[in-house]
Amino acid sequence: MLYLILLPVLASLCLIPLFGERKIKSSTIAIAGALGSLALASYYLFAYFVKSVVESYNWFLGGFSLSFIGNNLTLSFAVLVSFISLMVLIFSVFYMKKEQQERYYVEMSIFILSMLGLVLSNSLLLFYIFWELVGVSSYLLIGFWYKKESASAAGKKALVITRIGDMAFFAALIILFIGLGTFSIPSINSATSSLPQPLLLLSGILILIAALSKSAQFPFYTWLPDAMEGPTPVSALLHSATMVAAGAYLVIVMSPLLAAAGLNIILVGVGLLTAFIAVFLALNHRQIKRIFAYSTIESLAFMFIAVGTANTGGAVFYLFAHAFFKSLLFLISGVFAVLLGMQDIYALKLKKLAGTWVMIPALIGIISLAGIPPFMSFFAHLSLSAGFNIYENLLFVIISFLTALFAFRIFFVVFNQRAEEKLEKQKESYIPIYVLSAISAVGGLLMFSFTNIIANFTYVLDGFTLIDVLAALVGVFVAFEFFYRSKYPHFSMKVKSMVSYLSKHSYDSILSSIGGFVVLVGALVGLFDSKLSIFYDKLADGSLFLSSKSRRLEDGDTQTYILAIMVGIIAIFAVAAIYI
Amino acid sequence: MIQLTGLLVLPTVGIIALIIKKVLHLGLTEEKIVTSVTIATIAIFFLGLLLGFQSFSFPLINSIGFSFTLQLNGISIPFLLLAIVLPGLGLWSAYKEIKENKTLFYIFYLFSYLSLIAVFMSSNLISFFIFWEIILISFFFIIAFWGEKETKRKASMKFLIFTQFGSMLLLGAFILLYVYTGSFNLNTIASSISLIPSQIQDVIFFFVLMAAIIKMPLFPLHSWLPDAHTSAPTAGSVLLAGVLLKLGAYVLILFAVLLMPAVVRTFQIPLIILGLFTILYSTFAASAQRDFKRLIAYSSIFYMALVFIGIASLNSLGETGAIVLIVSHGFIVGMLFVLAGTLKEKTGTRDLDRLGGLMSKMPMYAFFLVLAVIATLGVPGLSNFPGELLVLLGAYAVYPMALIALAGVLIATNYYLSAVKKILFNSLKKAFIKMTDISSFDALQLSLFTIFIVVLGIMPSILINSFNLTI
Repeated sequence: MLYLILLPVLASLCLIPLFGERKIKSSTIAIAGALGSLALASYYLFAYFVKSVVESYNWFLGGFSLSFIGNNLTLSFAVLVSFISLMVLIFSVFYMKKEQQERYYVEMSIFILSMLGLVLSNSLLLFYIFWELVGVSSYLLIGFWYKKESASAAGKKALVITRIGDMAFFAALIILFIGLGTFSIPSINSATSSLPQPLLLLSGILILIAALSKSAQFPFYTWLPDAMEGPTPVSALLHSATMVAAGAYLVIVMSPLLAAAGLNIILVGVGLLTAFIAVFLALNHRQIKRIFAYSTIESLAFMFIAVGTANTGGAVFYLFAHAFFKSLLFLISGVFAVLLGMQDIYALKLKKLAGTWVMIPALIGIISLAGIPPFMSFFAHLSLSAGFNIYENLLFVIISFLTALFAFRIFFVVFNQRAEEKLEKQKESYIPIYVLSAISAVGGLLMFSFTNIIANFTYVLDGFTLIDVLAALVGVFVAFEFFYRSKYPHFSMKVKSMVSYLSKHSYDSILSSIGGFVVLVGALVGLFDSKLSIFYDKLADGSLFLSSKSRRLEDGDTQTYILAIMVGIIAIFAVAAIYI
Repeated sequence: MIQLTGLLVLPTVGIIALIIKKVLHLGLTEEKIVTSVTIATIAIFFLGLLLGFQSFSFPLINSIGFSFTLQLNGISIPFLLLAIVLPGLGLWSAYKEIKENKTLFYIFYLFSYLSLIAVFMSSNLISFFIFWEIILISFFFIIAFWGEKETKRKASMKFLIFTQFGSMLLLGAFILLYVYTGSFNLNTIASSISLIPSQIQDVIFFFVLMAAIIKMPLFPLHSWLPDAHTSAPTAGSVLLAGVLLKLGAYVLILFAVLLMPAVVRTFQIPLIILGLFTILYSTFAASAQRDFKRLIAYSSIFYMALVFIGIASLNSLGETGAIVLIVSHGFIVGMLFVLAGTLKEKTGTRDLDRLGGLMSKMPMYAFFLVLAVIATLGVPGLSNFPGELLVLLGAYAVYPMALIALAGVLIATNYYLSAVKKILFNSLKKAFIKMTDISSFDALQLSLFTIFIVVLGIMPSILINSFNLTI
């Protein structure tokens, strides 16, 4: 009865429009739904512990069944998703006070529902169904403030780009079903050898494209930074446990197929490339949410690298750790947005925030981002790098340095000057933030029981761990010198201009020129089509005389239409004749 | 058991009632007559689905085997569902839009309603053809008299001549079938199809194919459709896109795929390629449209091309998918045309560049528009998805390149989302400050469409179990 986990959220989704803010607030209903799902997911996690339960329901025809799977991995994902959702929904009470409540909570509930369904799916068909719903609901949520041109454009961009991946996924679904006769994920993964090599490679590439677009990896990453146009709680959810995590989850569950197709090297390569692009872009921006968005792209790249190094356990554990600290960081930026109305870190600097209540949670989040001990994220890094070879390890040292640099840049700039007055503190805002920072801090203990959740789980503590941490600490030091004490402004300006030069020539412009090309082709075809239509019309020019007054069919004109149709038909006949 | 004639009696009564009303100047309004007739017909249809239908036959001219025979074939039910329900759902738009010559309009409307129902039940080719012609003629008058002023003459003539040409080809196919099998009865023809020499079968197939290509329509014979849609009244567009275009697919499945699959198999791959080309062509052409209704018209060419690919795949997955997609697209495109009509009624324009920000004034309208667009893009949970999935599975199994059709879906995503953005989002244009949301009757009409779209999306097996791929 695994579908029961989805029911509370589904119920709140239906109840919110019914009550419509009368008697019961929609936020209360949504929170109750997420709480119910969390309770059920935890119950099943304990009930099914170390078991694996598959439940199938036939949808239509013979083979089109929808099946859920409950095991430690999927159920702990369900717990994670519903828990983060709950925190974000509680925070939303604080953040969305002045907004249209109903629409927001309905869309959030669809979002949560589809992600919960996705993690519990055992059949690729069911996975795809929820995958699409995740995309559509994020489109609605990113474009929530539809009156803003930038928000509606960002929503559209997110859906159009992720739909490239959706269609790739759809194609893979078709290829795998025709090739193997099943949608079941375990069956597909175990039967890869019976698929011809080219088809295996093709379906692997298509799955990979799907995951890359959903997780905002190179070359699709451009939609994610724009997605910050949505309300901050949406970003908190979208960047941690839902939307982007869906892509990583896909490569995690399909990793046997990807490995069999020989795509692991591509995963690592794309991951490293994305990570480097993301850290440089993060260094260049001033908007706090945009920097976090780039850091999400980077963190997801880590997960892709881990899967590529045959270390799915590390990817899962890092996904968990990342979900906690990234939602924490976004919620903190939400506090700034509501109370101070600003997102620019240099504007925030002037607000004198050091010593306010958000500083300690923010520090926990930033340290986690940089992967410095002793918090959960550090332990996640230990398992993340377990499968690295020497080159990956060396590159990771550089990434560690740069990550710490941009992470602490935020911290040292924002919390630069001692506060003169207290920052407002409300229950709905501080409870989720404190809870998430507590988990981010001590969640590392999970590492010792994580083998229960995913069998393929290891961690290493070696020389490179030490070097990574040292590199990160150097990053912190440099950030401190540059951005806290504002030393060497000349040098930092130079770095900045170099980075902005790089990002200006980033390929967002190439992407938009591809978009422009599609539009151009569309315009040309449209032009041709109207010409075609006019061609038919011209042939029958006189038909306008067929007015209702005279009702006189002028033979010549009718004939010309017929002539035109004849031309078309002869053309088709000719093509057919050539074919035969 | 319900007599199949029962479905035809009420529209006939309605037509007579309208004529009597006109002659005797009764107080009864046209709307009441038409509403009660369609609701009763829909009720009889659903009752019949539960209880079963009984065939009916009445010989007319024995010497050539012309009889008035009503009999369901394997694929009748899904098409009947569209033919019976959709015109009823479109009526509310007609009530709002048609102000002149109402009686005459509803007589034509009921004539096409009657013939649409009849055509999907006729198993005698002569009566099939007669009803097929009545639909075209009455629809021609609907566009010619109640269409948009500037374009109606031209568009209606274009519609008539193109589709009449298709009719002639279909008639040619019927005559050939009669000449070689000696019967106009579909069942007799099906059992004696082997009597027809293979070259003649090829010719018959090409006649049917051409009729279908004009009707569905496919490139390069599609140019009548956008014009017809742009100038037809909303109720007419619902009928045109929702049911009339499906006639093309119906004849193709019935007279080609089910009657002589071997012939179709010879031309299978070029047919799929034609479908794929039409998909890319129509989606690109749709991207260039500024008139929302024209955009929907091009987009419906896209979906019919997808249906065409499914039909041409010649396996049960593809054929089933094609029929599911036909029904689903009927409801979705009907809903989109109603939405486009409402847009014109409320704002006075369908030009996308002149619209903007309507969501703040029309949240209900926005809800339905977004829902219809999401449905048309094949998002799971709504009715297009099972159809698209099955069609592409079927087509991929015979021709892997068929996956190119997904590029069409991608382009469609782009232009539909652009249209939604231009209509609903961004800041409200000054001209629309006093705009009000849709009325509760509008909302009811759109909800009825929504119910079908959602139910068929969640439980496609209801639809799939209602037909089998036999004559």
